[in-house]
Amino acid sequence: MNRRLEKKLKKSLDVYLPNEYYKKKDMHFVYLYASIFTLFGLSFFIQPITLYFDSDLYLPVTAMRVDWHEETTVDEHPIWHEDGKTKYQYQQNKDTLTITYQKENPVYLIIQKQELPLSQETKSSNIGGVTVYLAYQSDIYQAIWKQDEYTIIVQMNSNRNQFIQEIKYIMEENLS
Amino acid sequence: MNSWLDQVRLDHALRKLQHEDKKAWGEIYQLLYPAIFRYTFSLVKDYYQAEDITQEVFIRIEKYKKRYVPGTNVKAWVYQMTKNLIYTKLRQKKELVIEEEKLDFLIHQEYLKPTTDLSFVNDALNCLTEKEKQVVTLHLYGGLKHYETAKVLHLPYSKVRSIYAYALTKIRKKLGGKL
Repeated sequence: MNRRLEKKLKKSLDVYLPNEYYKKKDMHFVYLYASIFTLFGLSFFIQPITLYFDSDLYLPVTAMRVDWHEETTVDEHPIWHEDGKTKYQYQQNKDTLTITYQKENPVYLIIQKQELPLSQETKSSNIGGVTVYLAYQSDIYQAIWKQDEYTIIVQMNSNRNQFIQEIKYIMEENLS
Repeated sequence: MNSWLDQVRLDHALRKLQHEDKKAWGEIYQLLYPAIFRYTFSLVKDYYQAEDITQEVFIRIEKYKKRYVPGTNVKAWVYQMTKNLIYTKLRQKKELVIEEEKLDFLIHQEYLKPTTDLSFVNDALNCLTEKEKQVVTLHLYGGLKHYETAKVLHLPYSKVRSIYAYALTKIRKKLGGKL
């Protein structure tokens, strides 16, 4: 009985001695190094995005549509499709499909088979792993990229972040 | 821990110290520091004050080393000095009884090991008389044998043993539920 009480009394006063106490590991440094190591590791998964906006690349959609109108026969009755709150208008011509819809601002999405005349020196941006050519003029943002044998053109009058989000949305939807 | 061997080593180290051999401090410090610190801490319940008092004990050893009679009990001599020092300090600061708030504060200090339960020690020692407290702390925290405690407290050996046994019975009665 006494042994148990003695043991309990001794254990109850189990403190770090001053010389042991100073040797005690400071866990703050462990947490700091662990955080730095984690951030360093994560940095490999983060791809910095640099966007180049070229005003010379800007193609007025209205002008393009007029050009196509002249060359091909436009659907007299465009197809409408509703997905929740968003209303899509599909207009199919010979080589071009124009999809127009409005979320906060109108979005013009043009899918065409022909190649776009872009020089080798044109600076491209990388969005979601896809090479995209961006243009900006008079508050209208424009993006052009190639997908399979099609050229995709998106035009939107909005702010930059909304525009980039919309491009990502279109890419993820795979234009279906 | 071999008490007899420690006694011989301490005696030898103190003889060397009397001849101004500073290297003896390593052995003295290693053999005495942990036990003196724990014994002091058990009575003052203040980590930093216990550290100060323990340091002061070593300063006194250096100061009064010539008074040590070789071949006598080193531990008894040192603990006599420690006991006097603790009670002088406690009298000066009038901290013989530790306040509950101070104890709560101490419990959250990072020098306490996960197994530490100061409230248990405090409850156990507070139910003892001053003499019983001395006998228990010198034996449990100072690591002294009963015959060494008897020398420090100038009491007969049999008396120390009976005080110790009675003190443990009192603690068991008081803290029976916590055991």
